[in-house]
Amino acid sequence: MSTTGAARPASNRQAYSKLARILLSLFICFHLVVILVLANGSSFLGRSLEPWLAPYGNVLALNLTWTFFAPDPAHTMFIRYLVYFDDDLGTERKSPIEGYVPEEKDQIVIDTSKRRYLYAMRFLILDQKRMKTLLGPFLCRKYPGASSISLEEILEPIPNLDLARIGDLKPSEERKMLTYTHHCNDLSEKNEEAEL
Amino acid sequence: MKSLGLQKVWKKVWTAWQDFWFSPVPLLNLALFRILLAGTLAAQYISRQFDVSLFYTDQGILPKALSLKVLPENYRPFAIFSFWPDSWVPFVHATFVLLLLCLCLGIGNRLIALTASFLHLAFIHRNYGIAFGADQVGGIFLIYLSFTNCNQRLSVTSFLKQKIARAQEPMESPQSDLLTSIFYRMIQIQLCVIYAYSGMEKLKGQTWWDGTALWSVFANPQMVIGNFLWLRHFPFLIVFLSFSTLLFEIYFPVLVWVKTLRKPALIVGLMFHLGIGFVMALWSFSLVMLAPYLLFLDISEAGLSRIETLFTKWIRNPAISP
Repeated sequence: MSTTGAARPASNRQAYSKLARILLSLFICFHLVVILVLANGSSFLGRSLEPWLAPYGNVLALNLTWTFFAPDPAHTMFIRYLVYFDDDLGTERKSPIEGYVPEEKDQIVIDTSKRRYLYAMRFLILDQKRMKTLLGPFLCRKYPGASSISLEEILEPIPNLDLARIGDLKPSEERKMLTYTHHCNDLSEKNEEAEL
Repeated sequence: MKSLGLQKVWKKVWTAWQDFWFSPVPLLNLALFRILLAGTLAAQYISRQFDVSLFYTDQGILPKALSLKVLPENYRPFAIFSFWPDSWVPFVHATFVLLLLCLCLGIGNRLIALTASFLHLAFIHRNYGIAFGADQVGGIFLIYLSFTNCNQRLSVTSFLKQKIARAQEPMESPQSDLLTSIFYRMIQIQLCVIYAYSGMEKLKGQTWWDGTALWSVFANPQMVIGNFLWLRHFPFLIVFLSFSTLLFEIYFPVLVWVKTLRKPALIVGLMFHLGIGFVMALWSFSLVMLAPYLLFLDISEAGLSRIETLFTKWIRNPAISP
């Protein structure tokens, strides 16, 4: 009797353990599919399986595409802005202020927090809508009393190695990727922000 | 006959699967991983503490209402976890840093790590744009770590447990549980996935095929911390380093599982990340990527067990020099 009684919990434990391993195996398979497929989310598999994988992957920030320095390392990028302080009639109340994001422009940035700022800027200018709806309002908040901000996204291509070898180290001619003026008190800008 | 053969194959596969995912894993490696990962993240976020208003409040770069809207629709989580008002942000962030320090020292249990993971996700979703590679990779590793019993070795918790037990002999070595084994493997696999995709994504780039991609890094003042333009006099070195990067990232996920090739793969990886650290000052990224290497090491080989024993003895009786 006692042997049977002791054997039953043991066999129960074994059954539970097996069940646990099967359930955990299912979870492992699902998780592996998530990290493998969402890393290439724009693929056919990614598009097809998105409804099942994305809710889980997005919450845990597993939806990342591992594109460090890919497909090619980025060129030097920065934003030049001019802050205007005009009254309602367009009369200048104060001289415009020129600035850059990042402040170092195309110089070396070592400070970690400034590097984060640089990353944030890169994130914003990857999508022009973000730049219009986030960077413009942010600079308006940074410069109280500003009436408008004129923004220029500048890209300075790195000279290629062949040119650099013969001594041409100057960045290729800078390219203005986007020029945009943000009006600090314009309601339509706020509407655009709401639609982002 | 056929079904018998299939059954045998299935049994073999199931056994191999169980061996891989559910077998006990070395907790000392995991403890070292915990210390390096949590320590690196804590150091990184201590420096971020001074900028939390700029990064995480409505007065900063990104108002909360737009946090998710800036992400492409299919990348958005169903909600952001940062439910606290802006005035709390410095305190919540400081708590997060404190939890990471606790995790590094091995204070508390899984709840500490899970809470740290929750806060990490809350900050990531609150302003995705300022996330470094180290935040993204470290965050995923942190989540995995939360499910392991990583405080069983080299921790204040394990030390106190031993002290409370007042055992004459050292306590029996703790064993990993099922979840620990699973997430230990998950960390290893995640590292391989990151390398594999990083390498394959680079194959799409013209400069990587050309062999001059790293020149664009060395010559870009926004990426490096010094003047590396002199490297133009060594073009073949640049080409060698560019192709080495590609080969390393693509093949590491395979080589690291081959026992005889594991050490060379890890050594190349170590040099690769030290290079990133020195040239670009991305030390937190390098350390976060190097931390999982500890899970591939043969611990007895490195003699770390012996160091731990000496350390524990020394803590018990500081008069004995370790």
